[in-house]
Amino acid sequence: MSEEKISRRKYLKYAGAAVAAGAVAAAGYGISQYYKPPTPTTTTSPTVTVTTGGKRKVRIGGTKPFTGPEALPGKSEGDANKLWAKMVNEAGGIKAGDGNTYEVELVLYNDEDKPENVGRLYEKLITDDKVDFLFGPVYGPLGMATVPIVEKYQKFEIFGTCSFNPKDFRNWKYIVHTITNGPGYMPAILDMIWERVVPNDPEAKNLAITHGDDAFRQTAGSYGYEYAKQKGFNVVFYETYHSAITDFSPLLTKVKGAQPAIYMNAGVYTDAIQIIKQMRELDFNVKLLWTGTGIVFPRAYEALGKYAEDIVTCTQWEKGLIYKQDYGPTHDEFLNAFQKEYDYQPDYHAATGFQQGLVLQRAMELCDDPLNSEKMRKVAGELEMTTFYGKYKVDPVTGWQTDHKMAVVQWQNAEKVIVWPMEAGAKTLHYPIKKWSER
Amino acid sequence: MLELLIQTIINGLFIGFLFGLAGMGLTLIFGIMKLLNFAQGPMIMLGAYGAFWVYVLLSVDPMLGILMTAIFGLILGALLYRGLLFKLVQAPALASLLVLFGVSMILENTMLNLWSPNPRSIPVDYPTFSFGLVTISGARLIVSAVAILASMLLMVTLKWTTFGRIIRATVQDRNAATLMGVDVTNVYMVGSSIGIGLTLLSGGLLALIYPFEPFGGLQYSLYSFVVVVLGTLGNPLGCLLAGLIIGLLHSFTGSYWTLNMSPAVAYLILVLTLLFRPGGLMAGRD
Amino acid sequence: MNDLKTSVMGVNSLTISLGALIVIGTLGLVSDTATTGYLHAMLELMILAYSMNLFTGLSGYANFGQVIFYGLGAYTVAVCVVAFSAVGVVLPTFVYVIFAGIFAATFALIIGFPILRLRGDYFAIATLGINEAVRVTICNTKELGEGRGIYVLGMVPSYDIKMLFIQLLIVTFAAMIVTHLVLKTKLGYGLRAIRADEDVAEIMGVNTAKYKSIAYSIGAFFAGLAGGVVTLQFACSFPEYLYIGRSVDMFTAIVLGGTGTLLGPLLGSIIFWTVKDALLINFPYFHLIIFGIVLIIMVLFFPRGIMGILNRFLSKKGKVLE
Repeated sequence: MSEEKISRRKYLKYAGAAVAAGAVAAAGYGISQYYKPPTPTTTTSPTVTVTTGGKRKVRIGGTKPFTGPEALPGKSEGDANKLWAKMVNEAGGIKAGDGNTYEVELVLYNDEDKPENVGRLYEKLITDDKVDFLFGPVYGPLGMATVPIVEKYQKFEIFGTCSFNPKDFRNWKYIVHTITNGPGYMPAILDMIWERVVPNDPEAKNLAITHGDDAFRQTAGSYGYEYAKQKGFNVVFYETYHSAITDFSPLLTKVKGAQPAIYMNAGVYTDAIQIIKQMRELDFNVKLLWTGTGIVFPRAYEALGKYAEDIVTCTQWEKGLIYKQDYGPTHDEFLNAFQKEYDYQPDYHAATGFQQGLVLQRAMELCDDPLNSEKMRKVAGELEMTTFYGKYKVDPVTGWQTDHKMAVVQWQNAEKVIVWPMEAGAKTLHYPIKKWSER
Repeated sequence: MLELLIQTIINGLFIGFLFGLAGMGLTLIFGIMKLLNFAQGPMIMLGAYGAFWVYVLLSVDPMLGILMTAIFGLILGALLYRGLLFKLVQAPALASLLVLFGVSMILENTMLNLWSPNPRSIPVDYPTFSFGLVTISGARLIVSAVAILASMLLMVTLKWTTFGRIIRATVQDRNAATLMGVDVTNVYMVGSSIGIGLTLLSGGLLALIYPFEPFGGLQYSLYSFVVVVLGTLGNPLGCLLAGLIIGLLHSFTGSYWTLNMSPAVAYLILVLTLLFRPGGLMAGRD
Repeated sequence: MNDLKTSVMGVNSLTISLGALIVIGTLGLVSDTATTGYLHAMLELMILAYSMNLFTGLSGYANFGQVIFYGLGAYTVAVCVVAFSAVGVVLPTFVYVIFAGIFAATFALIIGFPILRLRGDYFAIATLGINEAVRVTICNTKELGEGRGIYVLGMVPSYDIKMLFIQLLIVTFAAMIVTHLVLKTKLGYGLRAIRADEDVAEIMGVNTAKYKSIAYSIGAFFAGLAGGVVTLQFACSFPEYLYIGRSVDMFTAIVLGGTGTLLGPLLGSIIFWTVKDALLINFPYFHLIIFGIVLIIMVLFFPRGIMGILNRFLSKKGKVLE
């Protein structure tokens, strides 16, 4: 009996070891595909860098969700942060307003999109790694969770893909936003429709709006609804759904029944794709469609094939948007550098990550005490610029981004074409879009 | 409106058949081995990825991809049993839950690292049929047809073949079966194999009609649990019926109330079942 | 058979655990705030582990809904802060935390009624269902901030990790002492009997329903306290607090350490946290894979956790630690 036990045990040990080895091997392979080794001037774990010849250092810290359901924007933004740091250092560093040159050191941790990690990691960044400034986490509530810490230690923080609802502002003093916040998403598309479509087709005023119930979707959707009504649209249907739902046919059946000319859903990734698939199944046709921000990703197009054609979405930034900029690398420079470094096309999360860096850079250039958070926040609160990403101007008190506007793109022939704003290079808009059966 | 009602029923049935199939594997594994597969969600996702990659890399008909992922599931089930699950059969419930959670963590994160977090889907082109304002999707028809077929196959096997009888005997009384000459370990392995095969099959079908990503399994597994509990753990027919009930409920809640509350309604059903008829719909029947 | 002494070198497990806590406490208070932050997170996990241990660890009932109590506790504090300041009353925030614990315990008592009648796997599924149902309900309630949550910056004392740490320290002390008491009294023995065989326990006169209910509620109380403190830490409360993965973390911690023991949650959460944190920082992409492997190996080969290994060792010398 004991003999049998021993051989079983051994067998188990081998099986366990095999499983472990297999998993580690798979993971290792995955890592090599997915995770590029850090470039010399940026690190993902804290190191001490030796200053080179009289240069000073500015240390920037942040957390991103490298794993978990938000890994998509997490990786993009993180990669862009790193690229910015690299490019700045290669150009010799930031030439700050106090006359010194500063080399950038970036420390990024994985917060798994979980609040308990944010608390501990931000303490570490501020106290242990002694960062000077912070790049905020991805996702609204998580960003809000960093606010008490930042207010206490008085560290200047720049939020990337992290928006919040203006109703929740509570007198914080150290934050600025780079992106158009939640409430600004839908107005971009609505403005486009009002100016480009409604004059030729008054029926286009008949809108259906739906959105999910989590922080972002709800903010974007509910503000969009208010804006639409204010603007003069006729909202024929408005409802919400639980964000993690996997099947929308009941909801879509109802929307179809309301016979809108245009349907807009404030969704993100999976729901955006899902709704299109199910609209097609229900043969629910509209003249223009937005189902969520996730449509902006090339993979979404792959998942939908020809059914992604003519779908619009709003985006913080897209390839092809040419602004009359006055600062930072051009659109082409950014695109090429990113593609070269990471071998994939940057999406708007990446652009946002890069913008975070540019804001910091510009503020340091204008600030006469560039490592002082209060002064930096003041400068960042007052500066105005237009980069490849678009305009940057915040409300000096709340840090709320006021001037950056969303752009709208439409998938046309497997390419994303800018259709809004007009002054950034908008092209023809396909309207009305093809019916599902005619594709 | 009549059309809304008809469409709601059709939607509900379609959703229901898939839920039923997803739960089928779960209920089988539980019935035979008394193991609750907490790695159900990631396994469904794995099935979806399997069908997807076969379709993308080999450029064959998606149905072939689904078939292959189901076969992969069968093999995986057997291997998993041999490598891991056999140890859990006699272990306390806590242990098996944790181990399977460990498995789900490994699966999810490996899929994440290998295939990135972007949601994928198989861009299918099956026709849709419209009757006035009511539409029936070809893809859904196929999915439902396969789901029904697979379920029927399973039930027929269990009820009418010798093989099925052996399985049922083991479920009823493991020791007596052993005394009658049944190699229980083999039965467990086959059970695991078929169960996981069905799970991956449902994932593959899912890839046709829904987008999926590495962490997307949670919703499906939660609904699967509701379905198997309602349908009596271990009873495939009950599972199918329960799937339909949940599917119709989801659909009706969405159409006549709000889609916000559909999950809450499902969980309410779960709680009510556990309170008032914990054995499920088919409790007391074979 | 010789009686086993429940102490090692004259020190029993309560002393050891309290001693360890004092060490952690001192370390947290005197060192820099980064270490305090690290230990603070560890303590939070420890409290949750103890809360899980009281019911799940002792009775063997798998529980995936423990994080609800944490989340409800967090929301209770947020709601209290908002409600009380609207009326103009300002109470010391620790009072709100106590409210949080009480509310969580009450909630546990109420839902305990129906679901504690279930066994094993059914119970686990029910807790899953309740977790999600509560989360969905919160996401849909306007007064609770729906998906965004409730923000109370400025209405709670400003962020001070040492103060937060002290609060958690107090709660952990309480959790340890309560666990020790439970283990030594009828409640503990009753729960362990339930774990061994519930029907037999019932026949032997153990009031299983009552014991399960009490243990479940006390566990919920501590989880609620921890949740209350977290709202003070982040000055906001949002649905992500109710993420199911947290329950799994607690679970893992007590399995690692040894379920149903006094030292188990302590050791388990220390090891879990240090390993997980180190992995998270150094292998941000695949720490969970390593984790899953570790979990499987622990459960398969060391089902009684570290305490189990330790005790096997010690019992040869005629001693046992709880």
